[in-house]
Amino acid sequence: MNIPVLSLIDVHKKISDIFHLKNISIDFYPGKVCAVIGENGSGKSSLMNVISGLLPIDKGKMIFDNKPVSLSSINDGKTKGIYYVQQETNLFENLTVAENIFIDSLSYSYSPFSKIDFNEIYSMAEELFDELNVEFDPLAYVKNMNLSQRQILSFIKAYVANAKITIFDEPSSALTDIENNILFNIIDLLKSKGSSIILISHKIDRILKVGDQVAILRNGSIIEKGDLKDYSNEKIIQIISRSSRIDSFPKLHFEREEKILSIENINYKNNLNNISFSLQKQEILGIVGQSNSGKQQLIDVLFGISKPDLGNIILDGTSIHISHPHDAMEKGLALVPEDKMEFSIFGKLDLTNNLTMSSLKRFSKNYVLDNYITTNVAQNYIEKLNINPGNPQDYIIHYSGGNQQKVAFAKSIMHFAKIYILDEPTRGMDLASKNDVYNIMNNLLINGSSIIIFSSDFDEILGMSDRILVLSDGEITAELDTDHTNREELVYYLTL
Amino acid sequence: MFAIERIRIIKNYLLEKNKVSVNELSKMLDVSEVTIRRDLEKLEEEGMLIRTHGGAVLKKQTNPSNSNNMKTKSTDSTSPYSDLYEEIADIAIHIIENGDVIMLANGIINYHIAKKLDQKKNVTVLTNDLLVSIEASSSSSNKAVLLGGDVDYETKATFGALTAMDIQKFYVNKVFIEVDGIDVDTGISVSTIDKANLINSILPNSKEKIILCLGSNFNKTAFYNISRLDIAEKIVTNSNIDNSYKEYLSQLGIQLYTSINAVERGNI
Repeated sequence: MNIPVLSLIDVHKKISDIFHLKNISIDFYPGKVCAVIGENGSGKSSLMNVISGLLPIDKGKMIFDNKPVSLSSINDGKTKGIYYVQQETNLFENLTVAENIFIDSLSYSYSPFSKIDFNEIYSMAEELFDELNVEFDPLAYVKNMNLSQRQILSFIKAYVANAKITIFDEPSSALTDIENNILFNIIDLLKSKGSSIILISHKIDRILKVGDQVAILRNGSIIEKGDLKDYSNEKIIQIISRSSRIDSFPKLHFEREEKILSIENINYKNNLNNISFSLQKQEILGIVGQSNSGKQQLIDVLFGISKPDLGNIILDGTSIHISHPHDAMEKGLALVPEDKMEFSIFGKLDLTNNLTMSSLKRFSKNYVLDNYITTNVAQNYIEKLNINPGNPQDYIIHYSGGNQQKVAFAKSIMHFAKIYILDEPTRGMDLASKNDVYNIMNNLLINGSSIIIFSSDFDEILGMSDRILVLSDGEITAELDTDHTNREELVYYLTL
Repeated sequence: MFAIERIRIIKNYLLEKNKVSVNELSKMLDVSEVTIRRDLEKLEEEGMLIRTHGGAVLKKQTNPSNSNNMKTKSTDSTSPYSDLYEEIADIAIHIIENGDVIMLANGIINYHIAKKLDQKKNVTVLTNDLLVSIEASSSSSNKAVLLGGDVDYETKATFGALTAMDIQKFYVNKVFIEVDGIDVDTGISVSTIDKANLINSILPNSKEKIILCLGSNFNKTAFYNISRLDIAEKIVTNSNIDNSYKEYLSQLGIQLYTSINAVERGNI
């Protein structure tokens, strides 16, 4: 029993220029649940990608079933007995429930010319649902199922796979208690069959319920591991919230008395429930939430990408309707999205075009653009924001993440907005670029704008915002005054 | 287009061509000739150009004075560094909170800060700079305390034994110090011994130390050394400093404020 099914010994993996998995050594035992926790960006998913074979390791050893192993792909991992249930469900929309369940496990047992016995598949699925106590129609198509049903289906798939190691990545955030119990039941059954379970979750109480061991990650390293019975809720929070950085954020102070934005009772599908908050002129409002908290939906609603089912947005004292990003920009809202390449800048266009993109109306005369003028304007922003190397004719695709971010900023600054919505504005940047971004934010405030910042970097949120909202399962569960809170309290609310 | 953008384009165009015509600019920028004439008038006032019939020619620029030279506290907007001082002061004023007790040591950036103090309430300002004390006392809700001592002819500020003795009577929660050199190895330095002495006497009597400095004074060492860099809680400077400094100061835990002056607003 005490021989680990999988051991990682001093594993290193470079994920990006500034993020590495370092000195990862951990054992996974058959019939045990190992909970992996840590902040967003601490390396949980990267570690799972390494274990499942999605990413090859740079240094170190993986011992699987007493033999050194190197996995060449996620499929290689799967055939060897490592099954990975990712955060996003991976199902075939146009196939039925039963077909989805058995597509992995049965496809190998048929030879190319043998016929698939669908009746058998459907009756096997029925039996399975009885065993697990779930109510699914094996003949239903996946495209007609909602998100939590799809998640449950992925769990059942994992159960059928009956792998030596089963990884569940953040499975429980969008699920109800009943649905969670199905997951826990599956985990129990897998355990009794001797499978080793790796469970990534941020809900500490749930982890304490089903976990046997725990590994806490920060910044690409395991900072703590052991038997879960030695850990209390409070102790885990304490460990997660120990800050590794010193405070050096250029925070400014404004005398505020003017309200600029009120959000009243916003509801959107199942993702947002009665969201209400307000924003003052020259204020930085920080919003933190795990990846399934409804954060993306809130950004979409604020910027007119999604239309809320219910609720009011009041800007500068008047109720406004935003049904398209164009409306949002017209009304004075700007979004600097996390994924700049997809949503904000154009890799195949040069710096000048990228920078002036949102403000072309201002520079055109009779619908004609003058290159001299746009280049001149662009040049000015390139100098001011220290965009490097900064030749106006450069294609932006060759620029570093930090410089791309500055271009995305410059573009929305040029358009001038009352409220800037920033999504993970400094993720993956070096210290110097981060400092530049914070000072750009200050410049926006000095000129009368306000900022809503969504970030998973707690130090950044605590260092730059005036107030912090905690978003959890589509609801605001806490509002904290930055002067009177700390990391520990923030982590506490996030893991509730 | 915003007026500020238009004027900058005219400036750049003039620097390239040395000579511009009103008609040409009006066509390029799609505004009336009257507007262009008004812009040119403004630029003439700034000393940028000389207006001619139907246009303007570039005025030969005289060399800007040395940045360390603080002899003349010029208040006119044509001084080549005035924008840089102003940018720093724009940030520093938001470090001050209502009700603060602060010291503004003598210097031109602190003079610009003093001019903006009317945005704040109940601020008590301790200073050795006569001009700062005048500006700081111009709003009735703030209070200025001037340190006694020998008045220096060049800086119009008080120094010497009397000033140092006077300082011992006070405790401030923020002190704003303008320095002439910041360097990784040598730390913070100023160019006169009087100022060095003054700063050394206020350091023990202050809580938060805020260093102000032009970006061009980074990597420089002035004659009189004050202390290591890490006594500073905050540094406010222009944005053109080296990235290595941004990284270094962040690692030291010093809050670094740079005047990235990106936002331009104006009437269309």
